[in-house]
Amino acid sequence: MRAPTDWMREGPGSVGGMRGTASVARAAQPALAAHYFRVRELVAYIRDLFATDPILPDVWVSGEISELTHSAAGHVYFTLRDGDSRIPAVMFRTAVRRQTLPVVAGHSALVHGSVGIYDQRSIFQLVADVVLPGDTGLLRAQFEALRIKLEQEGLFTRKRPLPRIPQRIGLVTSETGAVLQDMLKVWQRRFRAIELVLAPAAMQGEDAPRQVVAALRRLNEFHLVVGALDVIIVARGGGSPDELAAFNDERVARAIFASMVPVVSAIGHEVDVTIADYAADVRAPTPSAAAEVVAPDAAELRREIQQMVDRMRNALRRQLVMAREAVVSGSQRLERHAPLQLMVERRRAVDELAGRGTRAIRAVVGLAQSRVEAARAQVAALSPETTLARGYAICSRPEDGSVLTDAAQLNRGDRLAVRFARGRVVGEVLEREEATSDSPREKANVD
Amino acid sequence: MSTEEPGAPATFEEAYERLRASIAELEGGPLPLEAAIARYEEGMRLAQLCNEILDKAELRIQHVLREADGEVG
Repeated sequence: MRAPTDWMREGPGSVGGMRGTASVARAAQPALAAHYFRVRELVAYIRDLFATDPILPDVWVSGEISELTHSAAGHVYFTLRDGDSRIPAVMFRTAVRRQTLPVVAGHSALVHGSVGIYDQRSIFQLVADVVLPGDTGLLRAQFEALRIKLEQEGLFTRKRPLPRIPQRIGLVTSETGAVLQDMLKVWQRRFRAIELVLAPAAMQGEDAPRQVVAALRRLNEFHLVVGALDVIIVARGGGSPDELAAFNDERVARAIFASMVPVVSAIGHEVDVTIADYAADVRAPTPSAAAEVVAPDAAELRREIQQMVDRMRNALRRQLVMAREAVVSGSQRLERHAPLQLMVERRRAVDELAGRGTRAIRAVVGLAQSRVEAARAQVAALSPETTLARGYAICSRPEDGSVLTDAAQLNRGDRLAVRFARGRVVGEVLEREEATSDSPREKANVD
Repeated sequence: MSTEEPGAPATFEEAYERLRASIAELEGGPLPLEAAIARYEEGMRLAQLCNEILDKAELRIQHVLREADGEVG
């Protein structure tokens, strides 16, 4: 129940980091036979003994609260008694502020705190930080310690969803108690289409934790080997804290956490919250409530089914309406695409195309004609006929038609043909006049 | 489409889930008319079956797993 302290970390036998002045004094005067302490040295030494003790700085003490006073500063002083023994206790202001449960004189309580020396008067006292009132203080302390431990391990965070409509339910409860009958009654009324697999176990007494763990194991084996379970209920009726103690047992919590099938816990009455409840996937306040939680209400299901039937009718009706509309619009489309109409439309399209074609061809041909005209004019401009028309003539030998370009090619009496723009004559050379030497052509020939 | 006709559903939950699937298909979008009618007919059969199961089901404890003889495997 106690947390590791500095002492534990340093190991047994060590006095710890706070070496007292008393031991310093002893070390300083080892040879003195009549050894003595100064008062404050002894007090400091004893204070250190308390502070470095493995138990005293972190204890739970059970006793009856008496001599309770509240100081003006907000501290609470009391004496914790057990028969003839007593220990003074103080709860300082900050701890008082955190304390939610009442601290009442004359009540027994379980108090947590550290035991130390109050220097000035050299009395030892309990500096309390938590007061758990009542007879169940001890159980409560154990409960809190286990709850915190398992919470830190993560046993309480996994919450699996339950199926809405279970087919097969595993049940851990007493075979003989009223609990089973109560639950059967709920299902009889709400939803009967379920298969129950009962794993009987003693739900109170010393052997109860072991039996509950074994029952959970049998149900999980059944789930694996025989048939899948949708949910397991661990149910126990109301009882005294002692009777419910099995469900604050660590083994039970771990078995619930280990279950492959989601577990609904239903232990005692609504006010009883056990460790098993924390570890379960779902906590139901009572066994009857658990029966309701896992099973749907048949009347509600019937209404739902009727709604689904209505929805199906509507959906089919919509489909039929849509089909009818499809037929109507389809026949309209058919009319639009009837063959006669289609041919008229096609013919119109062809005619239009033909018209466009003709216009295009005409344009192309016109362009070609004008180009040909232009080309013809160009060719005519370059032809010798044009030159001849301007008054030039072509001389050639009539024998072979070879063109004459030089008077030297002819001798007196030679025949020559002259071609005019129109017509041709043949004559004889009467005289020859050769080109002058300064003419470019003559020069070229000489060179 | 869901797996076609895997035989009559054995449990309420199965019939109920298949009924929901039929509706989802029917409402989900345009089906061929023939398929829609088939879904509708199946849905109606399933709805009837659900109601019959609810009416006729008898609550029973099918198995008791005792510590002595209840161990499986």
